[in-house]
Amino acid sequence: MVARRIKLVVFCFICFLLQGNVAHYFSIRGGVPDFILVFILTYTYLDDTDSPDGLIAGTAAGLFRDICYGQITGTSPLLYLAAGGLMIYMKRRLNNESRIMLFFVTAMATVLTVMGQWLLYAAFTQTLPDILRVLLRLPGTLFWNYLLLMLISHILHRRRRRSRFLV
Amino acid sequence: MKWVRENLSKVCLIAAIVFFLVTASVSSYRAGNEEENDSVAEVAIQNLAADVHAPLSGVLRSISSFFGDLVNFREYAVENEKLKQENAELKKTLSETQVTQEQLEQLEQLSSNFSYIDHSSGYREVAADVISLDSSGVYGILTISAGKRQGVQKGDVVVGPSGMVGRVLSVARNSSKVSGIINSSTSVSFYVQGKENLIGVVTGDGKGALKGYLLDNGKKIEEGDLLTTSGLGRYPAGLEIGTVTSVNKDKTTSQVSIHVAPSVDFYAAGIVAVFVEEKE
Repeated sequence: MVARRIKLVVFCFICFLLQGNVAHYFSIRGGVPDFILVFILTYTYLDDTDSPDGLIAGTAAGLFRDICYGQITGTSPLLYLAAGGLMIYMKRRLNNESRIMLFFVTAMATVLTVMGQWLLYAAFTQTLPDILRVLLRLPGTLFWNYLLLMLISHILHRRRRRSRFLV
Repeated sequence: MKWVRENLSKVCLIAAIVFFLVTASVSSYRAGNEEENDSVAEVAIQNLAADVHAPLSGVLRSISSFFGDLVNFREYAVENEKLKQENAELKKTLSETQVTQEQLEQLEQLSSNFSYIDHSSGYREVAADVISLDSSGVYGILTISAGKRQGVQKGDVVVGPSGMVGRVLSVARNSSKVSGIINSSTSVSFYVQGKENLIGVVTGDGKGALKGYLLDNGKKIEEGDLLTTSGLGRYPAGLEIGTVTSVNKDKTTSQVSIHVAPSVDFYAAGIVAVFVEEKE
């Protein structure tokens, strides 16, 4: 249990580092992968026990992200919390193994975090970044998020079948 | 109490949401208030992250620059030739326009006679690496590897190799968070280079560029004009802001609005300098 939690924290910290240092290299029309979101979605998707560990770790990574390179501290963790909650909710109600369900939830979570960030930024700073620019980022971000989610969950699924360990 | 125990997860969720909303409110208040400093916890996290980010960003920059050099070596050769030519022309221009030492001494004597206070002096530059950034390109926030220890303070001006980057938003021990000029909450007053009577204000347009207007609508500004800081407000004069990409005149109000491409490429700005106020 402790080893699993340490692994979780390490993965989470890696995602946070990748987000600040590497993400912009993969930009497609301004859309970049959201490593922390992918981490939260993958963990909650693969976790059969429905433990909140992944959600807590991801939310903490979001808080780190805001403190280090966000203007308003507190908006990212709020949105990651909602995205993780969405995945848990949808997993319980829809076919867990379905790729369409996975795409659908990734799309919803990506829209939620990107648009949510825009809305909260506008609400707290009383300035409105261009909505078109934000919307143009969505396809690129969704593409990367889904690709990474599929890739990681596929690898972990195979590993889990072999070793019967989670993450 | 029993209800709380039975619905612990719901209570925790609501508490977390309330906590983050309160944090965001306090944070937005602090961002807009120069006098307010970050909390101890925020500074501690920034310190920790900067200590890990700094070496990692150095390694990543070396790798990306190595592969970039490999891919673009032909372009660099052409660019090198162009720069050589430009350098020769600039040297010629410099020798033609250089003020002699004697003239300079005379001007300094004159300024001291008139008790002129030079507002651009009193700064020293601190060089820093960009160690992480907001990859969205919408909010224009980046972290640099200079902080309190190097004398950086909230509100200090940050410049890149080709112009203005932004202002320091918050400071930790060895790192600072910078709000770029592309951020829609940042405003800078400008002069048009070569037309010093033209003055106006630009702000981030939320698309990774800048938009602004002229204070005197009767004056003429053109596409391709270079904008520099006017020296009004906290930004020292003469820093390059960007180039005018489009000019629009409102027929009813006659207001001249402009769009500007910033001189600095935020993603390519590996090294920046902070103008730190020198204390006497």
